[in-house]
This record gives sequence, structure tokens and C-alpha cells, in this order.
Amino acid sequence: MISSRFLSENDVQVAADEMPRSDANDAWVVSVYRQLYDLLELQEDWDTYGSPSPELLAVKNATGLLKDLHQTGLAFPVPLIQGTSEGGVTVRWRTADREFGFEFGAGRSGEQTVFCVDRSTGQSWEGPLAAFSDRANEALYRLVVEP
Amino acid sequence: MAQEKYASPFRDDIELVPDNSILLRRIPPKFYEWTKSGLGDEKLIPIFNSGGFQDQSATKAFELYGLPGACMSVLVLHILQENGRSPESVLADFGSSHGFAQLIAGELRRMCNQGIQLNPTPEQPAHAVVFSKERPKKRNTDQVCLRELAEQLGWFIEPRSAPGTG
Repeated sequence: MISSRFLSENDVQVAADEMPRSDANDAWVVSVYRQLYDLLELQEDWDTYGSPSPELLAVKNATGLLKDLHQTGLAFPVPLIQGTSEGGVTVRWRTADREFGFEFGAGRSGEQTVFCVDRSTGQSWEGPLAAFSDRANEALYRLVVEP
Repeated sequence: MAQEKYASPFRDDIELVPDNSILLRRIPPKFYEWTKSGLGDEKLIPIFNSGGFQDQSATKAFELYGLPGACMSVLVLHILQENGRSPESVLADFGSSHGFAQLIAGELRRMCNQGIQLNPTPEQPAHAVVFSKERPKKRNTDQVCLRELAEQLGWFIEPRSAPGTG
């Protein structure tokens, strides 16, 4: 397991290089990159509740998702990217009537989950990304057409 | 084969923390965003985000409190007041960028399927923890549920620092 205490500038650069640098003027890319970079700068107890720094692997997995989304060319809203209390990362979007996102777990297993709470339909679901990929794709599509 | 129903290692202190109890959840600046109020002026208001309602890890909860699993720290308002402390004095230890969200014990029990175990410490007799009754730790959907309850009630103490305001 990679300890985030030993993150170096090179590790930060690795994360940054995952984003399409040619789109430097893309406000979405700038915001996402800034949030990812900020995650790597978080120290232990960053939330005042004793949470560890986000693990590099979780940050890289989140970066991979965001890179894939950007490469679709679709106009996704800017997500909120945060650490979790276990060293993972969440990428989430919130609209007037729903919240949807992904969690990239810490540790060697690094479980990836997806979740959605939709007050317009009354549906709420959460589970492994592999098992919920269809629902995740639908929720992502709705982010674009119903921001 | 039917899955065994999850049995939480926590206890739900319904008598000590009755349903009408107000619970205070301290919200650090990482877990709210200053957003325009939408009332036609430039005033910024702090909006919760759901990450502010996540559990501490089971490891940290055991390390800090000797507790048996992941859970979320709160303060029970009536116990805080009975011990002669004010929410403002508690927040003063953290600075003006922290605020208190409020939750009603009965609502989070009924609507988010959480329990509340009183966990007083020498430093803080009003300390309690909110735990999931369904699984070993809150899911993101539970965090959203709690965030929505907190939003309906509004801040108990709003953070006082907005960007550029000192």
C-alpha cells in the first residue's frame, strides 16, 4: 500500500500528467486538476476528524475516471472531489434533486463504488461499479442532458 | 441461503438520546461551499456537502474512543447545556470557519436508519456517535440522507468566514 506520507513532487506530476494538458484553457480541466492536486497536498487530520491523507492509488483511479469523462467530449458539470475518512477519494455531482458519484477506496483492494440518490424518482442505490455500470452510465448521461 | 441480518456492535441509546434530541455535527471548511444565495445579491451562503456526514474509520474510532466500529461524532445539545457549555464555546476551539449542522435524533433514526450511542469523554460529556444500523459503516447514500436532513433544518451555527471577508 502506498503511503501518502511519502508523496513526492513527481507523484503530483504523475497525477497532473493524467489530464490532457493541451486543454489548459478548459475551465473544467483546470478545476478538476486543482482539486486533484489539492487532494495530494492534504495532510493527516485534514478534516479535523483524524482522517488520513488520500492514497495516491485512489487519486490516480479518480483521475483515470475524470480523464475518460473528459475524453468523451461531453459537457459534464465540474464535480466535487474529496477525500474520505479511510484515505479514499469521492467524485460527486449534485443537482437540485439528486446526488450521484463514485468512491475510489483506499488500500490494495481499492474498491470502486458508485451511488445515486434521486429525489425526483425516489430511487437510491449504491454498489460496486462493476455491477452498477449501466446505472452509472445512465446517471452520467443525465448529468449532461439535465445538469 | 439467506444472508444473516447485520447486528451492529453499537447500542441505540433511545432513552438517553430521545427522538426529540438535537444533535450537533461540527462541519469543517472542507465540507461546505460558499455559494451565491440566489436572492439577487452578492451574498455568499455556506452549503453543506455530504462528505461532512461520513463516519470516522473503525480504526480511528477505536483509537480515539475504544469504539467497536465506524461511526460519526456528534454532540447532544441538551447534555452539552446541562453541563454548562454552549455550542459557541465548543466551536471557539476550532475557529470561525467551522459551523454546526443540526440533526434531530428521531429523524435520522427513522429516515436514515442510523442509531445514536452516547459516548461521553472526560473532555466532552455530550459526545455521542451516529452509526449505521444496516452495515458496518455509512454508505454515501446514508451521508446524502443526513445532509438532506441537516439542510432542511439549516445551520445551528453558521460558519462566519467567507472568502475575502477575513
